[in-house]
Amino acid sequence: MQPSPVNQELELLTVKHHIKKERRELLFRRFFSNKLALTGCIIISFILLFTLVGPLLTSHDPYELDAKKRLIAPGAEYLFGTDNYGRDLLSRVVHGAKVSIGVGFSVALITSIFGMMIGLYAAYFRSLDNILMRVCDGLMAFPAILLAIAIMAALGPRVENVIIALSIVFTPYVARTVRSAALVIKEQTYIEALRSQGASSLRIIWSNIAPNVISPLVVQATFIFADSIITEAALSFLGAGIPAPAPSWGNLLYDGKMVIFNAWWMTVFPGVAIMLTVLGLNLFGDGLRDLLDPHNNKAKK
Amino acid sequence: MKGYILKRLLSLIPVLMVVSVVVFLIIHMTPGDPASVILGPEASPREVAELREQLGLNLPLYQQFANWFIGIVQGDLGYSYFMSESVLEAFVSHLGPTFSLAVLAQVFAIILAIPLGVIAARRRGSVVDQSFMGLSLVGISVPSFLLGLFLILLFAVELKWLPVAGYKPLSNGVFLHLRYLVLPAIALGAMQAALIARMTRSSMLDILNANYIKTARSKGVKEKMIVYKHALRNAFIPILTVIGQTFGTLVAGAAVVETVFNIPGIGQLIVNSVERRDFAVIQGTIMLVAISYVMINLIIDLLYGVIDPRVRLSRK
Amino acid sequence: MKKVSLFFLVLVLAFSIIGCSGADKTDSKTSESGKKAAGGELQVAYNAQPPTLDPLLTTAVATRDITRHVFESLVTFNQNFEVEPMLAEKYEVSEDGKTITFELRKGIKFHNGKEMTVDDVVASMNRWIAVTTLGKSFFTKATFKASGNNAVILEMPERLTTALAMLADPGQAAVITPKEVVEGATEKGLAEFIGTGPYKFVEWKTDQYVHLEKFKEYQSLTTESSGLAGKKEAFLDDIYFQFVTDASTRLAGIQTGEYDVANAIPFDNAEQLEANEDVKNHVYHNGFNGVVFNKKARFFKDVKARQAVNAALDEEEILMAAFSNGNFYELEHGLMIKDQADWYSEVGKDQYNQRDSEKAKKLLKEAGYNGQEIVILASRDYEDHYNAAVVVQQQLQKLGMKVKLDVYDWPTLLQKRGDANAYDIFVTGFPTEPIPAKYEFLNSASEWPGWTNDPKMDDLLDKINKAASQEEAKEYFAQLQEEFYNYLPIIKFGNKTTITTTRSNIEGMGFLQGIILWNIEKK
Repeated sequence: MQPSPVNQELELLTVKHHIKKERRELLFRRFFSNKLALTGCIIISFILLFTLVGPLLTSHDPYELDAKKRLIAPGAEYLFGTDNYGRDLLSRVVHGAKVSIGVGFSVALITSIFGMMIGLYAAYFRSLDNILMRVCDGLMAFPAILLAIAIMAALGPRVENVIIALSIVFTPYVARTVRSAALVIKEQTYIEALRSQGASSLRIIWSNIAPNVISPLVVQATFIFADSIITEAALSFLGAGIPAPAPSWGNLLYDGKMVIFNAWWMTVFPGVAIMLTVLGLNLFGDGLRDLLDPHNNKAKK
Repeated sequence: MKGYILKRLLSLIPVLMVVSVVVFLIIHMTPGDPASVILGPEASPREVAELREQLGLNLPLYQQFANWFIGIVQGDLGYSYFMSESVLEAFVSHLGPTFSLAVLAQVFAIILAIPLGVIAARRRGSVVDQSFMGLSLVGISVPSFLLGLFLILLFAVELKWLPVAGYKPLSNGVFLHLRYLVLPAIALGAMQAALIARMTRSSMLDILNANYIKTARSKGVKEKMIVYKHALRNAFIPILTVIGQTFGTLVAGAAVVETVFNIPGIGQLIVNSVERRDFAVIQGTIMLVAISYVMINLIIDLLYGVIDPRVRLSRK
Repeated sequence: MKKVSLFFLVLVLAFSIIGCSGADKTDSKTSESGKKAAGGELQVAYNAQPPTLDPLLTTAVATRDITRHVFESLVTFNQNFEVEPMLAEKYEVSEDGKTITFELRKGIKFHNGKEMTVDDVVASMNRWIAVTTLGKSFFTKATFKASGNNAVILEMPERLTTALAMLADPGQAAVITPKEVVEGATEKGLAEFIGTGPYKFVEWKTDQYVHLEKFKEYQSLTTESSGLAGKKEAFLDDIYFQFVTDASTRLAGIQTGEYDVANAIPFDNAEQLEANEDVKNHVYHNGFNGVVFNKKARFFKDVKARQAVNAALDEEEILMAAFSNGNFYELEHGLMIKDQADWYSEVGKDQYNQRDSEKAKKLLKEAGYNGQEIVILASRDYEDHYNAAVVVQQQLQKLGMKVKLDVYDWPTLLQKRGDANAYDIFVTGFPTEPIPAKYEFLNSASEWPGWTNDPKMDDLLDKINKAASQEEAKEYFAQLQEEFYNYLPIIKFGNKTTITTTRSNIEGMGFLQGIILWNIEKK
């Protein structure tokens, strides 16, 4: 009654497949029962939808100036009103979404890549650890926004430079998170075992440790995404961010601040856009952390 | 303990080395020079060149760095190009407003956040919990400058309860001092409040589920005792960490809030110095901010030991 | 439990707010009664912090506006930019125009109590020659010397008709300080700010305020007050220049009464203030904005290219975008304004605001434009510059030009505009200058960014300075303005204004190249 090796293999595969499927379903179920993540997801989808559908709601170009139509209150012709140059605010908020979210996403992606590399290598190689973490400490010793202001002053106001500045500012935070997660993994016996078997460092780092730090990394990246949007807005608000006339949300607020007494809409609409997006991302990040962190799940039961 | 502090202080040296190099490089990469700002837009290029020479701005970069670095080691941060005072004097004269603002914002945040966090944790999953946590998420999602503008509109322009902007030092009286700082402190503290409330809640939750609390409960210790004496005390360490970390961010956030409310603090000193390219002040002030930031973190770490005797500082 | 702590929380918050607003009431009462008893104080929300309080060192506007209350010169300008004596009792120009004798007023006291002597005047004037742009350009071969105990003689190697106007100029003003103060000055400027003006300097708190106090022993002229000349009375005991760089804060503060005076009010907000009965807007003429061409390198080296732009621009549209309302600008071609009757000329009017795109396209073709990118520099630190730049960019794009607008902060722009290979045009503003020679873009000697180099204009400037009479100078200036419109070192958009808002109980506000706060009363 010995099953053939082939059969045995096959059976194992189906079981594996089954388990994977079950795990995936479980994750989905948990995701949908996780109100935070779900709400966050809905808000983000709404914002994304808004950036896609928004242009259809208005026939106006975000750069089209018309001095005679300055500061018109929201109404049928201009759903969000016009700004102090007579530009349609709705289309500027929509385009601003692309710029702001684009900056936020780019920063999250870049900091994840560099933060992961730095964090993993710092955790694995003690000698590197000292150097890399001192540099990170050094960078983290600056308040984020002040460092960003200084870098922007040096690089000059361009969208690319905002991304570079924010990436420099936030990478140490990701690196720290990854490093502390990786340190825990590194101490585990199976890593010890792999090492004693002579597995290469590169392999251990990338195929054994790296997958285990993905969860905290993703959670951290979500928060960096949100933080970047806020910091970009603050930079532009201080006049050191995205150059005009490109409509980022921070820029729109800068414009809005000047006329806050006679054009509330110029502060309210971009302000609400920032709040919603950041709220969505924070909710999503929180939910994700609950989902991915086994410790938290235990606490839930 | 002493050994630990000494070790921590020594470990600051490389950090500050990194800080000084980074600061210097960024600032000297920055276009624009103090000479042309001092002389004004109608000055001729020749006059600008003369002043540059006087200020030592045409020396090679490494030489400027060496001069500056040697100065720092000797405790001399240099002189402002604009103000007739040293960088240290400028820093000290701008420290008061920022300190007041940050402390007030922190006090506001703690008073608001810890009770909210505890309540939310005890009533986990209830409507109260969810609305508090929803509120705290909104708090995290509103940039301080936006909140500041809304507060100005409501309390200063519409209701006229509080001044729009400005600053009165403590020497003008406590009430006047506070009156000018209430709105900026709320604008600045809202995000800290949200962070602290969330941390309080989650760390309380962890503790309330811990075995020793369960034991205490099973022994019939009163719930109030459990929550406020045992749980909160132990939950305080992560809360303190958040407070410590966010105190540094407060100083940073203050830069933006200070601009909105026209408060002459460190943040505005840096922002203004960038605007007028007062290199000496930017370099020196950022160095000092970085030092204070690391020192605050050190103090927070030391406080762990006081609050939680289980933490052996010398261990690490 | 939760209710209790919540209640406690609300209580604490409410208590603190009530406590604060309660304190506020008592406080405002005491300060109000304080105001009535004495002369009171004037809170000025000023938009920029000066780089220094030494008026000689910088052309910065903030320095000029603050220090004019502290320092005085031998001569100064009235509202029509005519020279009038201030610390001089009278002055006399010799027949050949090479010597000017200033007889000093007697018994003038400095803020430190010392009486003004000829030595103080000579020392101050020599420093002015050594340090300022005008001094270095026109007076290096001239000498000031004492003549007896009560007169100072200025001797120049050749006639300089505009010399008096230069000495009266409010920018880098030729102020008189005690000799010891002059001697104590370093390369960083004066160490003490002691003058003869109606207010004396008390304190400068960086990034906060400059505090001036009434000078009780001030001896005012009795002639009618006009511009910077004539009678000056300090009705108020203290003036605080509060530095409020954020426009929306100035705006809010003037409406709530936090400030008595707020300068540089954004044009977009004028209307809203107009509707508020507690405040008054004062609109003052304030020079002009324009585009400065890079004439050393790149496309606009060719005069045809500059003429093409001049033919194309619709100045009204540009001014409208920058100043938002016809009340705040004036279409005006002249470099010297109508108030300056000694200079004003109609010449060149036909070259201004042509809006002729056919002509522009033709000139552009002749200049050999083939799609190269035109770079405009502008700064958002000056919203009116930036707003104008946006429209200029748009108008040039309509001509089929490829135009890039590079926006920098002001210090970066100041540096970038010095690099001839990096840009084609920058947008900037100019104050109303009392004499043509002060416009740096007319001469080649200063090598001011844009690098004007036109022998004809240099020659005419020289003739103006040496003219035997003002009539002759005016004649030369008309020729200069004609050449200006041929050569086009810059294009003037039109006259601009600045809005200063005061509370409605403030009377006697003045303005001439900046705000004038003596003679202000608080009713």
